[in-house]
Amino acid sequence: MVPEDGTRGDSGSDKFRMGVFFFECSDDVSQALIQVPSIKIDKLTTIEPGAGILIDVTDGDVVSFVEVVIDGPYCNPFAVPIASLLTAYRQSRV
Amino acid sequence: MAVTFPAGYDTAPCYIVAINEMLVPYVAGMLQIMEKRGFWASDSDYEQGYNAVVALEGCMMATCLTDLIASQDRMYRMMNTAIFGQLYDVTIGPPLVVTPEIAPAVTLDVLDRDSIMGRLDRIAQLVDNAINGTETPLYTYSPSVKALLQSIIDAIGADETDLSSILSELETIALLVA
Repeated sequence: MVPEDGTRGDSGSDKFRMGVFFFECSDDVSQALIQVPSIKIDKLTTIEPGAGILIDVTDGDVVSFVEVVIDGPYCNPFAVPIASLLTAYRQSRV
Repeated sequence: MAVTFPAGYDTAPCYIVAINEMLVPYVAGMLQIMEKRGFWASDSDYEQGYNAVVALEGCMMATCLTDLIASQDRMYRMMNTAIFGQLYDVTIGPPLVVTPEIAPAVTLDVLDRDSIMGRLDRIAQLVDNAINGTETPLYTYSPSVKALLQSIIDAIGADETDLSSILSELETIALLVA
């Protein structure tokens, strides 16, 4: 088990703050999940409910990331193109 | 042991499972094993299982129970205002403050004449006053339809033949009924 109070990175990022983005695919049925290894605290929303957990999808960097994913040639594991963001929040995946 | 995706998934109902917000990152993160091919018995099971589990993880932060309860409270207040005329003061939050608080029970008291119950009460008072001559808080017209009809009957019974007087009273009745 990895201790939770391990070394922290820039802006408090750490392995317990993995950013997970959930997308709907172009067939309106399939799902896609994209995870980034860690996400900065200031990219999490401060508005309840979900403060400190939900990723702020209005943040400029987050918007840019999502646009790259949606506009790019990215698919879920079953080759269905990613179409739109559903939600995003931090998870602990250690 | 590899898992077969459950049959009947598409038609099965969903349950609301209350998870404390602080635990969602850990609970959802533990589901990652079900996103892997190795968890499932076949490629088909994997595809169905992946889509189902990813959708589940997404839902876990999509609808807060607090939001659902707040939505239900808004519906209650809308109905209480429309039916009984209860008005609410709202202070936009956070926190959102709405007064008065939702009461454990409501009475049949009409709080505003423009509510549904208020308008029904107004109609009931109007009819009672116009037909029966009952003095109500809103209507005190006189004479009533019944009184006018009775005066016509009395006039005919007394062999009074002043048709213009009878017609005048009938016109008054027609106006009241209208």
